[in-house]
Amino acid sequence: MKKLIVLLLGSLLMFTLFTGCEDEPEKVEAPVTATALYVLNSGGQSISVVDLLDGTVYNNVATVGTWPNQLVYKDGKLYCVNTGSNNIMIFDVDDFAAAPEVIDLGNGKNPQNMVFVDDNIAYVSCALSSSVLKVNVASKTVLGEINAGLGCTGIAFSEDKIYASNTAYDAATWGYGQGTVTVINTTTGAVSSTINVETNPFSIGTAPDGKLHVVCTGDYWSSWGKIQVIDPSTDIIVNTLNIEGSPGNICFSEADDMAFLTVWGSGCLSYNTETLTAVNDTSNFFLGKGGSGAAADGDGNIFVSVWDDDQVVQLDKGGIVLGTYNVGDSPSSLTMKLE
Amino acid sequence: MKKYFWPVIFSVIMTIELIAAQDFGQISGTVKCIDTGQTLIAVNVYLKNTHIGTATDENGNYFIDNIPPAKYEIVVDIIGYMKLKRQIVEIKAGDNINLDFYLHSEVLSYKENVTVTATRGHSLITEVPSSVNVVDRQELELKNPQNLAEALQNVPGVNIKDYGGLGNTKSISLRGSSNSQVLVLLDGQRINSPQSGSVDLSQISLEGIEKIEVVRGGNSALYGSDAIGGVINIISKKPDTDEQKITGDIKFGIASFGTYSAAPSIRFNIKNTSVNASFKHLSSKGDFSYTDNYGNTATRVNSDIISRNYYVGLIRKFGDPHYQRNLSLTFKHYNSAQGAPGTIEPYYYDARMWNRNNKISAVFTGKVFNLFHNLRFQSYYYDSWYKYENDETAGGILSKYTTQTYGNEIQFNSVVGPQVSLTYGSGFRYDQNNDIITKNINKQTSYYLFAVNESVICINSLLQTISVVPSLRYDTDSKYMNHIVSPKLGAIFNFGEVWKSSLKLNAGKSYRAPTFNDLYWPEDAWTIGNPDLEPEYGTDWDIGIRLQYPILNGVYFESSYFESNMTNLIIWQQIDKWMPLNVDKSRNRGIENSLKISLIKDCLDLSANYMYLDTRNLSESPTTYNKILVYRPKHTVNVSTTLNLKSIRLNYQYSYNSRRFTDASNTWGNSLDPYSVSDITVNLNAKMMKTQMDYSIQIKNVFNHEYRVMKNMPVPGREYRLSIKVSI
Repeated sequence: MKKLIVLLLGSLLMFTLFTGCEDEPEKVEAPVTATALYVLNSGGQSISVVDLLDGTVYNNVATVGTWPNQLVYKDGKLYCVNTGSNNIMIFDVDDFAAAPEVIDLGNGKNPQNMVFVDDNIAYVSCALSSSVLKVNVASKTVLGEINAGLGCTGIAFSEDKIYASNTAYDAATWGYGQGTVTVINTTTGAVSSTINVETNPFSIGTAPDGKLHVVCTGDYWSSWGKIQVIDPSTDIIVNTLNIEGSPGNICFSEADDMAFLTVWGSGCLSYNTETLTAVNDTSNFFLGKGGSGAAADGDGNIFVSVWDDDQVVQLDKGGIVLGTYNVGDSPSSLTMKLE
Repeated sequence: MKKYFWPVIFSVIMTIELIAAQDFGQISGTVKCIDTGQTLIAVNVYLKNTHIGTATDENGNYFIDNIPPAKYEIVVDIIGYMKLKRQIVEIKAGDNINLDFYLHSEVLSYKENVTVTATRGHSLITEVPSSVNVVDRQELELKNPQNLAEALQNVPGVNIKDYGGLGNTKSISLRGSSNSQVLVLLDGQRINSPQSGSVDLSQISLEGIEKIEVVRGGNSALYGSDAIGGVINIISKKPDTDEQKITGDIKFGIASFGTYSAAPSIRFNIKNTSVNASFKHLSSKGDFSYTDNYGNTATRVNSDIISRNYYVGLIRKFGDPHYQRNLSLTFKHYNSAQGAPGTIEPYYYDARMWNRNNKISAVFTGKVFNLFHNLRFQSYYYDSWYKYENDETAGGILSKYTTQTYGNEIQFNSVVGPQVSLTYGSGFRYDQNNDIITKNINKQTSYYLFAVNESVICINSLLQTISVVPSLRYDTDSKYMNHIVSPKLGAIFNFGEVWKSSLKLNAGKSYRAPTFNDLYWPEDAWTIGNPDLEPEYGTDWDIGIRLQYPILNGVYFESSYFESNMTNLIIWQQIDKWMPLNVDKSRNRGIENSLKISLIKDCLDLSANYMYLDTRNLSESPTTYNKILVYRPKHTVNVSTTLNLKSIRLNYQYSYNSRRFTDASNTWGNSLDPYSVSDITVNLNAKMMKTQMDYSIQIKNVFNHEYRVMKNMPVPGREYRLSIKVSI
């Protein structure tokens, strides 16, 4: 009998100990910062905040939706485009503990990227529906949908026009068709023209001079990266740079007239936006690792996400590492709040 | 290698045969109940750790001949009476020893199941070093599960990953392993997909299944690849050869979410051949309401399923009782058409999935040469066809593939000494996977040799014994031509007879071979397979106690500490393209406790188990190092109590799973809340004339608790099930 009593008591004690040891939630204080780098952790489906004044990193301050693709900061709010969730989550950067507001974009869209045209109106590129959505972020409503090209992915704004790049990816053949850029007049909401570009125009950005830089990634195995520059006053391609590699997203460093292109696993390629000449090509990658996201501030600092190391690295335009921040799992898109 | 194989096997058999060729002795006697003095019929009398034995006749008498001279431990065993082991009996050539046995009425009322998986022989689960649980036919009938996942969800050490409604994927983890680190066998042969490495338990119906054995802990030393977390062996029902007439039954079921089923079965004998055939049709609309990630009520649509299961089993007996041989044939067919809604973010409203598979197996068993060698020879053929169609992704997905598998296995079990038996054998297997869309064909032929020895060493007396079970397996295949040797050593120290205590220990190495997907994923814009992959390796050990005490109406308690270290884990990573690499390391450890107690004999039984699990990612990444692996709860509790009142059986089942992380960095906001679920089943039996009626009323998730086992995969709320089985 003694054995049984000891046994039962032991079991009860063990059960109590273990069930009493349920983990407590990890509470991350939401920081209020003057300048900050916001990091989208794709693996962790979360957001990290880097206080650029003191270098403090606050990880996992908020969680995002399924397949988060892009983080955009604007006027005290942080917008996360969730491709799988078909929505945009809006966070208050001064109160990450508050539940995010959600703009439901509707099923079957696969939103990729967004761009603001004014304080409340944004346009969202959608790959699955091959369309661009006009969204009011204040009322959290979709105002309209404009047909674009197959695999609409990149989006940029210049001179009252939206430029949406279409990759024309065909999953059946694992190949790419004719890459295009759809031009949408934001006043009329109509497509004003469609511009043929090189293979797989994965992203598009507006340079400080207002010109559109289309990043044509290539098909990853036979055709390679090209930058095509569109003049928004004429909507024609005015220049092309064979940058090689397989560049993805683009960011501009206005202070140095430079553009940086992310290349997954290798870091960045870079070129001078004035002369359209390569500075860092495939023979001398910028950073040489990471490249799942990039952002630049107005002072010539470049921030590059390093997916494998769960870090964001800060560099100057010459590639000198100025700081390394340990962020969340698998960082990708970066955006900044500047004073 | 192949040309030497059969000569070697033959030589080994002949050597054992020569050693065993000796003069014999005999034992005979009577078995009686000590309380009433009545003779007992159909009592098993056998020599432990041998294949020598018989059963008492209608007068309670038994007679065993052809016993080679040696010392033996005699076991006398019948359900309802306490098992009695006689002291060592020494048999000499020409001896005819008379031994009568007197059995007490059973004090222990819990069942002592037999396992054929733990040692590849027939052993009591209470006497093997491994941690084993058996879900038998009786339990399946009591709990009325719809599929294999439901049947196993309360077994110690098991975590079921439930992706939603009836037709949605359900996979299994043992002791914190991944689902592809659990080897699932059908009658001893693997059914893990050669393409993905895993098994969808929702597609395994329980029609034609006799029992399911779950062996926890690494077991590649017996079964080869994938047995890192453990082995699940689904044992097909064998037709009852004693049945002399035609019997049959039909079971109708109706349940919530528009679920209907009908399952007729028939059993009959033709001369020495017994036949068992059954069919099950299941259809379910599957729609259920849930709360989405933003607090809105929504309906889970596109969860419908229609499935059909066919099962035919035949068994034919040959020879006299001493040298009886059996040939059994089993055929299973499954087909289904179902919605495939995926997650709720994104949600696929129109995606569809179709499955078809056939499984044919022939098994010959019988004694060969003499009473000391048992042969088991198995041939099997499996095929499957799969189609998935989804127009709601970029470019759409159309996936169609087939798999074919066939193989042979030969196994001998030889008694090589009074307390020593050796099981050994070999096999080959061919797997082929055809991608109908890409025309990509992958093939693999594998060969293996295995041996397991069971030795009992007596210390002081028969009441203190150590059983040592070393096992070893060699695997090679045409895929990567690695030569993998998997060793394992199990030991169990038993002391006491009525108050029986055991200390058990296991240690071994296991592995999981890369799948076809890992090796040969066709190159596209983003992904490519890696033909240079190495297998994943696991080194595991466990230590535990097992207590069987005649307190109340019998108490059974088992507790084990286990630890498993895994290296070379295959993870898909992006280099230039996404490709699988041997990069990760992990460590799983924990404690399993299980308790069975009969509170009121033959009336009220209680069983409970609790697992503490600590699984850690030991890869280099700074944000994931030492983090808990995804979807592994720290605490799992299961409690089941059954009340038997003549023709009514009432079962209450409770299960609790603690918080689970869904991302490698353990972000709290992404974790899933703990949940507990209660199920109630009431079974009622009634007989009218020659017709047996069995009613089952079941309420699953009684308290309508809304929970998720997998992220973005809601599971149905409260569910009512009613079934009626009419047997003639």
